[in-house]
Amino acid sequence: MIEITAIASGSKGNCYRVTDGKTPLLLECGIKYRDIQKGFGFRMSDVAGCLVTHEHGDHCKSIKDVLKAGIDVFMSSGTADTLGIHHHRMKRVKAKEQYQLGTWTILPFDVQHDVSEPLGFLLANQEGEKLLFATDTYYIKYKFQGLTHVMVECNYSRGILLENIVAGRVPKVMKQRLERSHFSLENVKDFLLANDLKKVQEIWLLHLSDSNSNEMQFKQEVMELTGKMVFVP
Amino acid sequence: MANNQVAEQDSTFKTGLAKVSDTFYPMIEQQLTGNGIRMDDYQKTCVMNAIAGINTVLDTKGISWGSPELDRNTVTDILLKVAALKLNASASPREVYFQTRKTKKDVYTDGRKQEVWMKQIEMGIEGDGNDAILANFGRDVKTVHQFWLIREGDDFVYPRYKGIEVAPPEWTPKGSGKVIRVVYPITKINGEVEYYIAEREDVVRNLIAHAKQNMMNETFGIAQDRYKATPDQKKQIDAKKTEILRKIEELGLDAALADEDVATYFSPAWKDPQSRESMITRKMRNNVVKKIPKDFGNAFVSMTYDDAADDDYKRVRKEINENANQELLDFEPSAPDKNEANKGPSQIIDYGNEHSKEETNPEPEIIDSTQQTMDIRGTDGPSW
Repeated sequence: MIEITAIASGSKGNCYRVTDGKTPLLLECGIKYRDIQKGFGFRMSDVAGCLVTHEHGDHCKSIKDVLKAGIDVFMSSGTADTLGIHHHRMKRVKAKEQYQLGTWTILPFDVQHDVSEPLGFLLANQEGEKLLFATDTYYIKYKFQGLTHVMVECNYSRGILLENIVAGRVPKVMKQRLERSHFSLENVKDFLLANDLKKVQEIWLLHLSDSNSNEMQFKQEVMELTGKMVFVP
Repeated sequence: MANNQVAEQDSTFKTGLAKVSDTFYPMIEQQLTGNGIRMDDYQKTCVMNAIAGINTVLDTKGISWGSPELDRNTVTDILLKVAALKLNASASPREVYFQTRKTKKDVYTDGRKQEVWMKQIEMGIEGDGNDAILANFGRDVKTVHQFWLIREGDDFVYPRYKGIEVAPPEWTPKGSGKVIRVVYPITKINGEVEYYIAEREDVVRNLIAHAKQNMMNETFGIAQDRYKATPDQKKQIDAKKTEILRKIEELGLDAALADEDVATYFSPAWKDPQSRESMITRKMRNNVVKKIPKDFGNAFVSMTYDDAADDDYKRVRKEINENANQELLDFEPSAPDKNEANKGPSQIIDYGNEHSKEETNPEPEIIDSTQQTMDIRGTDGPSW
């Protein structure tokens, strides 16, 4: 059974613990290593690997410490090259080429963000459960079948963003960048509608913007749309 | 008796267009009210004129309002826009135009999803529509005067500034040559007149944005398509794009439009002699009007304006509509395979007992070893 723990989510740092009861994984390491250790109850030796989506600091801040702890870190070549780190535990993976990590099968896929080679990850365990992890993307090219757990970015609401721009709380230039780099509530809802959600048990909305989101509204709208359990860390 | 019957029939007779109005109008009014907007008489006229305008377009295409191939959601959306932004489809010159577009949509029949082609109505705002929006919603704008189209042969003197005092621009039209400048005299609420000027040469920035958009899927034969390009190929493609955009900038507007190499990336509306000049004038007008701040006083109207007038947003929307949620992605049939457990992307990943003690060596080979954590060569994420 998949268990998700959000250690941190948002522009200040992203880090999640995901386990199927046999193989614990670290998704992103965008916070201080000490805080990751706390989130894992200091049982870092159990961690089978760390998946990193892209090179922004809020997703891989403590990558050096993670590598140093003997944890394999999986990312695209583009991300690895941009980070400029060379270490035997850095594992370069390619979009649409699946691999095994303990009891997990992992399928990376390309996402749409303004960095070198960002990835999302589809994970399946041996019980047939499927977890989708996609963050920092303004849309997803793909549809997925038989998902049981969805962890997806839901950064901002277009309505809130425009209200903030009109009120002068947010500069207009931010809008252009957000539209081409982050998932809006409206696009997340379209994405969820396009997917097979029959088996979905949990939907996690990740990486909410500090100023352009509303946790309660996001949760409620997605719950109403899908009828599923929605978590906003 | 017979006369009375005729009178009764007449009182209940409605044209097809009136029936369409009866269907859409209450819905629009309700949605606007729900967003805190009470429709005034002019907004009602705008809705009615838009329905008539859309009807003309549908008529010419031979599509009826009841046709299953017509996506009526787009009609509602357009009517909301014209009402919220007070755009009059019957004004002369036109403030908005309508056109149809064929698009593929998912339709559910008996629980089964099918892809069907539907006709959508699209609305575009004309230059005069943007002027109308500025006149209605421009911050501190009292009157938007008739703009000046300055031609090559005209006498023109720029405004002069002495402290906060302004000597107005001077213009003597001569009526020959290309339009090289547009001037908008605008009276503000405090009575002052400001002169907003757009230059022809600055339209090169619009042309660059246009070319950039047209090149979005271009791979120059380096990769099969942009999604299949490797990081190296992406770099090569980006370098080629940058080279072309730089060339446009260096050539300047007219030379770039005349250059056969770069003109490949321009649409006919920019290239064809009969439409080129109107396009350039339109862009100059937009460059003035869109930059003047608007105060819609309502987030819904603001969002509606953004949807309708923001070209960047339209481009993003188009990209998302065309590419999002299209391809089914799943594991290869063999996965997950217990026998294959621990097999990594390029090698066997041994994660088990080895992790029982944290590694101290080898140290990561970091390019900038003086820094801690990721502050290496990574980039900061957005701070929002």
